[in-house]
Amino acid sequence: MNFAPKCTSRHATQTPLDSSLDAPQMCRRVWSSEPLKIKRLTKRVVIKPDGRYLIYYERA
Amino acid sequence: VSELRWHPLLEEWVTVAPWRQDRTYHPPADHCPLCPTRPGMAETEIPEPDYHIAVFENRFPAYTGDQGRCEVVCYTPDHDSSLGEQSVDHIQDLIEVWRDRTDELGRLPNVRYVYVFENRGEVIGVTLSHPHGQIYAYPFVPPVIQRELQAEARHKRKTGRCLYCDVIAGEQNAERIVFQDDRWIAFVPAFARWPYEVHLAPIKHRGGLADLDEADDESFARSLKELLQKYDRLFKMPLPYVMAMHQKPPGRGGSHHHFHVEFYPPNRSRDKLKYLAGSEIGAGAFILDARAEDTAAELRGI
Repeated sequence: MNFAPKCTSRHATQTPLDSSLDAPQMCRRVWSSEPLKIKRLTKRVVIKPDGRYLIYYERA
Repeated sequence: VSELRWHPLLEEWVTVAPWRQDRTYHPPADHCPLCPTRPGMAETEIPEPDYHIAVFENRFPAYTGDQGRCEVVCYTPDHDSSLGEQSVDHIQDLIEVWRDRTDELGRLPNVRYVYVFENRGEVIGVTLSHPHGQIYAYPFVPPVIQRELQAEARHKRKTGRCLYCDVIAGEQNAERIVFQDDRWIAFVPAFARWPYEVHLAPIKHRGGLADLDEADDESFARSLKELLQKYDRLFKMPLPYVMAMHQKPPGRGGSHHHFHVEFYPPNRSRDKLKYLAGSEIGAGAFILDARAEDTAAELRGI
């Protein structure tokens, strides 16, 4: 049996974790809580010319 | 993006990212991409002349876009420093950064696990010597974590208790404890697979960084520093290691998981390394030529 054609992310229809290709997952991704607030530091996000982000964490 | 290929025999994903072959490899110290940009010098990954702690997307990521993220965490602008040399206060800041990144990355739609880790030392495969760690946000739960979660779930079903809480309770005879305070414990587990492997864990049940309070953070920072300083005293040299944070997966599941940090130094003496070879790589069976009780005593005494 050739696993390569269907068991790769390139050939899977959506994410590799969909449907029968699933590796078993231990928990459902359900979020209800608010994002965490940082207390000790401040955060400054800069976008680099190539599109990647850079985050400076500084003392509050 | 990377290609994920399913390994049908081991039932795990293999990530194929050929562009990583070209990643920066041991640049000279004056061309370090993780240093701040010094006046008159070429721009590094961090354009400003100084920083406290900086995080950026890896230029050669294994996961990016819809798949996940790979981030680099620069602990300090000081090129010749290390995590263990930072002040307890600075490490507490770093814990806050790790917690913030875990939370933010865990909210990305396809991310199933956020893994905070550090590789230290050339023998581990580190290509940049500047003190830094990494964070991978995976589109799947990695196999080691998955096996841990499954074992913990089985134990919980069988006994109603947390497996790792029971592991810690089993260490109370102190034979394998390296040190502890009222919140964190460092010990060489009875089942260690590396000569100087140490687990650092909150004594009370906590699932991840998000569950730690301020006193936990302070104790964690102090313990982390103490352990890393012991490591560097062990053979009177900067000891290489892998530091692996095992947190629960993002979301509401995984409450049976107990947060802990595993350290794997590859050295079995100052000049001898433990290699993963036939038994470990080919059969997955670790053979260890050291007793956890002896290495714990050695680490305790320095």
